[in-house]
Amino acid sequence: MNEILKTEEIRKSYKKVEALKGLSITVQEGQIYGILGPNGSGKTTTLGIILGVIQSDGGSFSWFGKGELDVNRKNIGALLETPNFYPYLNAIDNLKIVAEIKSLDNIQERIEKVLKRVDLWKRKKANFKTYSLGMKQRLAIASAILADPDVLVLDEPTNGLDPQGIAEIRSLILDIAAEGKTIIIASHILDEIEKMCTHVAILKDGELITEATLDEIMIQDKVLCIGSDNIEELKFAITEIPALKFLQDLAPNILVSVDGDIPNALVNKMLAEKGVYLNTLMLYRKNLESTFLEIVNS
Amino acid sequence: MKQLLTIEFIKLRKLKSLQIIFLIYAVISPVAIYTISKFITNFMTFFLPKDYSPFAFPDVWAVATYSASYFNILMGVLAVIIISNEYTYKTLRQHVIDGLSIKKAILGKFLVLLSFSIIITLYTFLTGLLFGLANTTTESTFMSGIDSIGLYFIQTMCYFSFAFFIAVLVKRTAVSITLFILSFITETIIGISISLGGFQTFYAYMPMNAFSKLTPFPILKEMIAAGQERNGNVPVILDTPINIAVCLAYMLVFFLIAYFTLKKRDL
Repeated sequence: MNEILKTEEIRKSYKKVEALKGLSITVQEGQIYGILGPNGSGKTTTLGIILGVIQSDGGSFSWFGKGELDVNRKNIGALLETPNFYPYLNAIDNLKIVAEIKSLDNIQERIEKVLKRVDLWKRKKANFKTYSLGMKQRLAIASAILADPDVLVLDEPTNGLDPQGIAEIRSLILDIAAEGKTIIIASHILDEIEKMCTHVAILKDGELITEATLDEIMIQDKVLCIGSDNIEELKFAITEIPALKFLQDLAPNILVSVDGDIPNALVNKMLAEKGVYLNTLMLYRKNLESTFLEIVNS
Repeated sequence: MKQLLTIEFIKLRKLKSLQIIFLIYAVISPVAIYTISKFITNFMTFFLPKDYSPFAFPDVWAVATYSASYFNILMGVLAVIIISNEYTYKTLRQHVIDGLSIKKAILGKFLVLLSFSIIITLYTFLTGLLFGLANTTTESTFMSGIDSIGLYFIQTMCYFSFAFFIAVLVKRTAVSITLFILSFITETIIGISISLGGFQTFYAYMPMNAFSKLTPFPILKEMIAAGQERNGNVPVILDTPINIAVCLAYMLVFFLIAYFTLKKRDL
């Protein structure tokens, strides 16, 4: 597999705040690579640096093994934060500008193709400022795929969309991924990442906490949903058992992660030895959210 | 270069403020030439040289370029709008993401400003030419005094460089326009104050004043001579070649500062 993006020890500070503390990640061809992290973890700064709009203070990155050249970005479709177009121009004119920047041929055909794909062909002559948020987001995706790039970089692609809009964008991204494109997505919507990504990097306070396939991350630990008549006592008992780790409240119960392959019966026994009797004990279908919280909180 | 001009043309052809400002320029500029000529011949007869005819060659070039120079402020405002729009709409950032280098983005804007300069200089040339052809009764040809048109072209580029510099530095349209206009007023106030203190030469080297003196008031030299005869406190006018050099130096500095600011700054 070819290496699409490699960052090495990227650093960036905003005055006294260290936004990135030496970030190194690698994205291979064909991956749908999710960059996760709470607000302020450095997701957008990372994308801004690799897309050439934020200057890093140190480290380096390389696209397609060719370094940091501006021309590399002509083979990347990107949406960073919000869709940015001229409000007084229609979809066709806005896309013509992108096509000229990327030195594309068959411009009319390409524009028609992508506008039909994102279902904006009927509104092709309406000015951008008249578009709804969902339409703006779809135009941004049309712009990103206009050059039929090998890589798509999307920062919060479903931000502000209603559930139908989210589903549409997600399906569009999965369709594009099915063509073998490499996709890099930054998001704090974990459900979105879980439904789309093959690989995940989790950032916290500008540092890489973990980088792995989605499956590797999801099977790290077992998660149980447990409850008792006195939840506070239960939480206290958990702190005294090294094999158990409190994750989050899930009223009236709580979620705990369990180290290794400890059977449920043994968990019940360990807690009973601490004087806590469970009224609920079931395996919790572990999702990315609980994994994420577990990793970030640790 | 064709690619950059095509991109800028798509952006600008539907921009309302551009259409309005060019329309104002096209309509009012000839009216200004007529009005200023009438003002000179009716109210400044004391200073007028012998055979002075503001509508005829060669004097019409100085009148036309002086009158048109007032509209450079308007064109400068247009330049500020065009450049700061790229920040407001975050389109400069998107262009870079799409693969345009900062260097090319700046070159594109420079080409737009150069095109504007050529268009308004040509328009001023044609207006002066029509006035001159209709009113010249002597043997003067349209070529005499035409160097004013060349100086007017340099002047427009100088004002554009300053507008570019302000827009890149400030980024916000309204603040940039206010600052651009305030710069003229502020420099004039400072210039007059220091001139009264005997520092007229220093004022002559200040940027806005140096730019404006590329196309000076048509009978300024006569007015200065009259002032000197009366031992008055008259302004210092730099020799044209020196003034051109000073203006070009300012233009270069403004463009370079804007370039390095953009190159260094996060978008």
